[in-house]
Amino acid sequence: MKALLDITSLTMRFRGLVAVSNFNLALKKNELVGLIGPNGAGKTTIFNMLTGVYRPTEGQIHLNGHPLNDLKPHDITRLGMARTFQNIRLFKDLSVLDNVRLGHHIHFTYGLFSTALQTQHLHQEELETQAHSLELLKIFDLDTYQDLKAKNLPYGAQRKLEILRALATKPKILLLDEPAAGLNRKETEELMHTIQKLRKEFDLTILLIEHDMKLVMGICERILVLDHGETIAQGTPKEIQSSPIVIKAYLGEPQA
Amino acid sequence: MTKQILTFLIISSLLFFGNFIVPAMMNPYLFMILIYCGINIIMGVSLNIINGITGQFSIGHAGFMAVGGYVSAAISFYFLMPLLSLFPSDNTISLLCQNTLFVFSILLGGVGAALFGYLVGLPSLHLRGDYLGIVTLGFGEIIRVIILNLDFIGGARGFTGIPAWSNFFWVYFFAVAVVMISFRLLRSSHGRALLSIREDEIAAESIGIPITRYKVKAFVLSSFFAGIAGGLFAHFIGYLNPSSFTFIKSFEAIIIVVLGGMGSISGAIVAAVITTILPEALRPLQEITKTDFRMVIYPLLLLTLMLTRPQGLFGHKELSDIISPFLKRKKSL
Repeated sequence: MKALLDITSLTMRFRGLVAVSNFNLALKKNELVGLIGPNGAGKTTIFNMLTGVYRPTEGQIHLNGHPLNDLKPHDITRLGMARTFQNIRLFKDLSVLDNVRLGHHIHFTYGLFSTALQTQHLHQEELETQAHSLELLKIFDLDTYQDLKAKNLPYGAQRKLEILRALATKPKILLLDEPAAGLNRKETEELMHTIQKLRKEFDLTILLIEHDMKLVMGICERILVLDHGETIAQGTPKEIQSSPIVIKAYLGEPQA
Repeated sequence: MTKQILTFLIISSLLFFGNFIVPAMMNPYLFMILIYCGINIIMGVSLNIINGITGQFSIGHAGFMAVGGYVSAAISFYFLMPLLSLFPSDNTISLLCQNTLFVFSILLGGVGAALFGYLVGLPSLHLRGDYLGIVTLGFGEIIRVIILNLDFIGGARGFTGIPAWSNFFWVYFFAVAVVMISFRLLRSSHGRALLSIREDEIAAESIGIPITRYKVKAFVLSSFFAGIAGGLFAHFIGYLNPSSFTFIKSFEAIIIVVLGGMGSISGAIVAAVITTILPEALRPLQEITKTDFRMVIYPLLLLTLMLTRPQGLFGHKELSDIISPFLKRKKSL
């Protein structure tokens, strides 16, 4: 089967520093792949290249056959790739509902003139979006907070809201950058189940960066390990857990 | 749709009757202040689209007002006045023609300003914060200096003989239209996109919002409205001078937006009225003290307000947000 997201020999250099070198990944439809590695390994840099924030120095990215290298972030989102951020980037002063509705933005079809004249078309679309957004909010039981400003939500709920905002763009591929950061054990476990549920329900392909090993090992089918920009190992969670190279990267060499 | 037509008819007929009653009720000086209030409401609400809602810092708004004013004045002076003299001077028909042509001229002034907004916005809107501010300030001054050197619109002498076609009806008709369109924009998907740019540009791009395109859209719309304000202004006093459109005029518009609360349309309206009336209301003080304290007290009042309410009069809120909790409470009682 052809890969949905095809990344070949992706490299990013910041002047002399090689942040990511020769990264390869073929993401098949409905796969859930984890990207792990120590701090500064280049995981988020890969996300930034995939979503168009950085332009890769070398290598190709193809989504469904479309080359993504020269596209702007907003075009890439329209092609079906959405992401969340490591340090939450919500629209803090807007309401919870508005945050999700904004995720829906690319699917609106009415123009500025309809806005000025308040046409039937606009009302119809706004109503549909509101209903759809509330449905999404129900996934994480956030619908009761719809009128609250996003910045007033508790930290865990903010992370969830960011995932919902990304989901509202109706993506094919969802990139999650440390979705469990700052969540407690119970919340992390809930998140694990929700991610799996979302994947089934929305027919998603997910690539996630995470430091919480329990979550990564629990839900990922395949894991890539990055260290100093190089892919040092890949395989099933079991293979990764017993790989001596990975243990070395995380814990250092055993004393002789 | 029928509800909209009804609202339109009610508002226009109210303004139409107001057009006969209001000028008769007050002396010309008070009437002038009332008209300036309307024009400043348009200026404040339009600048609010860029500075408040989209969060971009533009300090060249007077430039777009000038373009709108001069374009519509030139069209009226060189084309519409000769055209109008061809018609028989039968009272009602010529009045009707005059008003139709006037709207046409005002809208063309708006289009001219919008075109300039597009020209200025396209290359400069990828700049952020202070840099954009400096570029817009520069463009505003360039526009003024170009006008200063165009002889057919009067140059430094000023443009005289503009027909005084503005009246209470048209000024407030356009003010209401600009306010309503702004409200509708704010509550639409387009308005939310603009707000998201103010909140976080990177996140906005990540959900598929083309930020530069939206910034340019906001800029063009805002310049269009400023151009309309300029046209109304030109046709009210019948005379235009480039020195009316220095950066000080731009700052007046910024004061309105900041005082009202960044992003709040109701705030911009209230602040526009305050900043127009306050300097005039302080005039009697000058007579009593025999010195011009006006420009000491006016800034002091602004300073006190900003120190006690740094988020502006309304903050991010609208009048409806403030009133609705009271209404709900009353209902529950």
